[in-house]
Amino acid sequence: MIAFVSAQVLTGGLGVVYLAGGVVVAGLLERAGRPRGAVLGAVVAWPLLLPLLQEAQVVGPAPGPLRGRIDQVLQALTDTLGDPAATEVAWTADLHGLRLALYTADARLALVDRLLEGEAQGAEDSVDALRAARADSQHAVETVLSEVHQLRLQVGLAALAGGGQALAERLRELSARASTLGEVGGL
Amino acid sequence: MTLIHRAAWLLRDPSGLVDHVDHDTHFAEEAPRLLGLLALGALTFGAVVGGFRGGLQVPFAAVKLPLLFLVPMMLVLPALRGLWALSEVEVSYRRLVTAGLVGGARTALLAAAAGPVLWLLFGLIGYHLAVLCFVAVLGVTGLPGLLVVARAVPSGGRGRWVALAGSLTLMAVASMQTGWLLRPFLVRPQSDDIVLFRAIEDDVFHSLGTTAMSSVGVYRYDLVREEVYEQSDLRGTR
Repeated sequence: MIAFVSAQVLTGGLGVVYLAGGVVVAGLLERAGRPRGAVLGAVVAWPLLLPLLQEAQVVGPAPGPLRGRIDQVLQALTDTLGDPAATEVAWTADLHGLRLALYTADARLALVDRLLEGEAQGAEDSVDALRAARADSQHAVETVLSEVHQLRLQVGLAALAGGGQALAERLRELSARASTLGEVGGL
Repeated sequence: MTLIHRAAWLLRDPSGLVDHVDHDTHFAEEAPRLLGLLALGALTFGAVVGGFRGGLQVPFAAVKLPLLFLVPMMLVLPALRGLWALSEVEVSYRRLVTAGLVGGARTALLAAAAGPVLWLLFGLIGYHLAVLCFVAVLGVTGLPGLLVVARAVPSGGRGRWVALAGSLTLMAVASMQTGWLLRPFLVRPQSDDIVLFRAIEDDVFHSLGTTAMSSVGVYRYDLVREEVYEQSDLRGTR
């Protein structure tokens, strides 16, 4: 078969197939909500960005009511830690654990919301108890987010006066607290 | 600003950058930045190399140089993972890609930094020496990049050195042969034959041997002529 195809046609065909693969991978990354740079990069160098597709399937729990705020606060902290002056902190920081813990707590809230929607009548006591627990849990998540926001300001302080290690420890402590949100909140 | 910071980081502490990028949340943001740095460095170096001839060869070489860095990486990384697995070292594809991108971007930036020196040399030397200098710069700047990949692999395993030597050899050979397929990067200043790609012939090792001989004044047609003479002498003695 190959003997009947010229080298130019074969090369061109492979090039088209490669680009088509790039468009498909870019489309999947776009659908998974990956950054625009990763989507554009995938058109040209998709074999190098395939790990993002695997991660997209295990990226974490389904989004809940606070997902937008969580992403906003953590993105601001990521940007701050990524600043050249805060390199020392970025080394030891574990934002991933904090993000996953907050996502999990947020997903629990979403589950409760779905349950409450289906329980409009009957079992009022249980519904009230669940509502109260949900409110407590949401408050706890918002408290952690507020502290993360404060931590961002402390990065600037650490850049001026030192103490990057203490800052990283604070971040780990917050992450640990966030991972117990569901238990503390009683959900 | 972020790109400049990443460039400084990958030159100062590439292994640290690999550890930072090889993370669920960081990879999606950092991989495109590393790709951008790699492309930027390679474009600059390619433009310098194309400047030996000037004209249309400048954009041609500038466009092809990033491919020279990316194509071998894409071809070889899955094989490297298999090679390390044979040595009982489990390394994720994402970590290998991260190391490849950091190593490739480092090489590209170092090559771009060597650009002015190469440009100066191009004004003083002939075509064949210029080709050897181009290959030498790629070799010297490529070594730190390859070492980044080698250091990114977790410790332990059996026959680790075999896997390491195999990985470095595979990467180097794939890069060299890709360079050969993407040629010409350097074109003689007096040549009117400016093409994006040349027809496929021989391989990179054959070409380097011929160029090395030509740079010391022994040209290919001399070798061919010698062969012809030797064969006719043999016929004459029969």
